[in-house]
Amino acid sequence: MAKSAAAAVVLAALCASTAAAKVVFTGYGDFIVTPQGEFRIDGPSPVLSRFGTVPQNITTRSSTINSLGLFATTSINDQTRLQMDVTYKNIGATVKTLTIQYGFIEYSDWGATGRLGKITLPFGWYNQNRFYPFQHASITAPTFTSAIIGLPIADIGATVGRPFDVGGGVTLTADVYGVNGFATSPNSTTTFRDTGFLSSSLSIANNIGSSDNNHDVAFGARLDLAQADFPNSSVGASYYHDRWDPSGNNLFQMGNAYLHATFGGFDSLTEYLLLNAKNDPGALSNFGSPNWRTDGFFTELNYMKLVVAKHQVTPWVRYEDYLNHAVEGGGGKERLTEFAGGVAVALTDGVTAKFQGSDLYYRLPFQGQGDVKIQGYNFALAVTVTF
Amino acid sequence: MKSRLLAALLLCLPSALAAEAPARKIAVVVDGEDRGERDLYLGLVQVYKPRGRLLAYELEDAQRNDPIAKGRLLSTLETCDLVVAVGNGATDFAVSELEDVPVYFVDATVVPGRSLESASVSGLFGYSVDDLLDAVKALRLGVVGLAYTPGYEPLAGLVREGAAARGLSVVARRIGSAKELAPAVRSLLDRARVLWLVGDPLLVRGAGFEFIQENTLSEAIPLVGPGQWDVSHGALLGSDPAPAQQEADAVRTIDSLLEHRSGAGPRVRPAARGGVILLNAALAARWKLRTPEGPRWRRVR
Repeated sequence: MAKSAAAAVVLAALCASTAAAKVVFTGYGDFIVTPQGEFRIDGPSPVLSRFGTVPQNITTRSSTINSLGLFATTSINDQTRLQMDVTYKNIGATVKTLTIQYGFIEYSDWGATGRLGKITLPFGWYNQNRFYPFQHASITAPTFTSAIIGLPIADIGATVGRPFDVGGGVTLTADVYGVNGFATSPNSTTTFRDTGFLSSSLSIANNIGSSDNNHDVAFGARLDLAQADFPNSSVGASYYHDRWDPSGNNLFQMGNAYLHATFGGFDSLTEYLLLNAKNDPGALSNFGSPNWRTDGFFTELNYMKLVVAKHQVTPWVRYEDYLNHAVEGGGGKERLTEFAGGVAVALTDGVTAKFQGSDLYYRLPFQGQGDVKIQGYNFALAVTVTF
Repeated sequence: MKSRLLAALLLCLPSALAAEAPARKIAVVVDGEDRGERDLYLGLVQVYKPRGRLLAYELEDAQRNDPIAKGRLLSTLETCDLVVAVGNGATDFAVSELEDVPVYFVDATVVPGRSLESASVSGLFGYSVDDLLDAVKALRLGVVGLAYTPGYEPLAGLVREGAAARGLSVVARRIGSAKELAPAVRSLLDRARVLWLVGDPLLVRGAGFEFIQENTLSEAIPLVGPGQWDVSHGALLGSDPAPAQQEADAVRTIDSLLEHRSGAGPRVRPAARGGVILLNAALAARWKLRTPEGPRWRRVR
C-alpha cells in the first residue's frame, strides 16, 4: 500500500516536472613559472624569529599551478539559474585548497537580479570583474588586495542589483547585499587581524566562516554610474559594514571608490580602498592602537589595441600604494608599494601567455622593536587557458 | 491501488496539457563583430519578437573568452527549442559549443563540414550555388574542380547537378583531412580549369587556403570561394545573396522547424539564385577575362 502511494507520488512528480536542466561546464587553468625573484627581509631579530625567519636574502625560482577552476552553470528556467565555481589551489601531490569561490542561485525579474548563496560581493570593480586570471593581463592581482584583504571578497548571504535609466544615457546600477561578514581571525576569539607579514596568515579573507559568528548581519551597497557615450567605462562607490567580534560590538567597515575607463585603446582602472577596524587587539603590537585604518589605491593601465602577427598583445602597468595606521595617529605605519608591468599575448583562442615584472616594498612596524621590511623584485611567466 | 494510479494520472493531466501550451523558445544569435549580418539579425528578431519567447544575443568577446560569461550564455541557449545563428561568427560558436540543441545557421559562408553531419544542425548558406555556376558559365572558365569535405556531400551534389544542367563538367575530390589536402588539390589542378571550394575552414581559412591560393595563382587557375572574404583574399568569384530573399527563406525554414513539419526540404541548402556575383577585378584584368556588366556583378578591388 505504501509502495503504491509512493509510486503514485513519484509518477505525479515526474509528469509535472519540466525538461531537465542541463549543466554547462566551463573552466580555466593558470600555470605560473617564476624564473627569478629576489627579496630582502630585514627587521629586529626577535620579531623575525617569532615568524621562524632571520634577516636574509631570499631567491625564488619555482613553477606552480596557481589555480584550476571549473564553472558549472545551469538555467533552471528563463529567470532562474544556478552557478558554481570550484577552484583548486596549492596543487602538489595533493590539492591543499579546494574552494567554492561562489555557489548561488540567481533569480531575475522586473529588471533586477537577486542571488542567494555564496556570492562574490559587489564591492569595487576589480572584485567582480577582474579577479580571475583570464580577466586580467597581469599574472598577479594587486598585492595588497590579494595578500591582505584576500580576493575575491566572497561570503554567504544574498544580494540584489538593478540598473536604473536616469536619463541622458546615464545608467545607475545599484547593488545591495547582506552576508555573514568577517569574524575573528581563525586561531583567535579576540583578534581581527593576525600579526604577521604578507602571507596568507595575514589575509582577513580567512576570517570568513561558513556561518555568522554573531547576531549582526554584515551589509553593504555599491552604486555604479555609466554613460552610454563612454562604453565599458563607469565610476562607482561601495560601502561595507560589519561587526566582527562574537558579541557583535566592534566595527569593521570598508569603503571603495573606483573609476574604470576605456579610451583610445586604453583600459584603465583605479580603485581607492578604505578599511577601518575598531577594538582589534591583533593590531595593537603593530600600530599602538586597537583602532586601525587603511588608505590606499591601485591604478592600472592596459593597452588593448596592439596586434602583432595576428596576436593581440596587451602591455600593461600598475602601481599600488597602501598605508595602515592607527586611527588616532602616532605609532608605526604599515606601508606597501608595488610597481608592476608586463605583457599578455593571446596565442590562440583561449590560450594567453603572460610576462610580468614587479618591484615590491613592504614595511610593518612592531611597537618598540622596529620595522620588518621586505623589498625586492620578481619576474614571472604564466600561461592561462580557458575552456 | 487502481484508484491511486488514476489519481496520479489525473494529477499529470493538467501539467501535460500545460506542457503543450507554451510557445516554442528560440534564440537568435549574431557575432557583434559581423557588422554585415546585423540587418539580417535585426530582421529575424523583428519577425520572432511578437511571437513570444525570443532571446536575442549579440556575441561579445567576453562570451567567447570568459568561461563565466560563456557558461551563462550556453546554459541559457541549452534551454531553447532552436538556436538561430546568423553569420559566420555566431555559427562557429553555436555549432562548436552547443550539444543537442537544434541549431539553424543563416547566411554562413564558413561552416565546418563535420558539424553538418550532425542531425541537430541545419542551415542556409550565405552563397548561391546557382549564381556561382552562372558566373562560371558566363566567364567560360571550363572544367570545374570541386573540393569538398565530409558533411558537404549534399552541397557537392547540388553543384554537380547545377553544372550538368548548364553543360559544365565537374571533377570532384572529397578531402577528409588536412594531409589529404595537398594531393587532392594538385590532382584537381591537373584536371580542371577552375577550382571551387566549399566553405569548410580546412579549405577556405588558414594554412589550407593559403596553400590553395598560392597554387591556383601560380597556375593561373581561378578560384571560386563562398563569399566576400575569399574574393578579397585571392578568389576570382564569390557570392552575395539578396538579403531580403535570405531572410524570407530563413523564416520559412525556421517556422517549419518550430512546427516540426516534415518534408521541409534538405537540412542544409545554398542561398537562392538572384543575388550578387562578386568578382575579383584585379584577377579578372590580369587574366584578361571578358566579364559581363550589370547589376548582378560587383567588382571587388
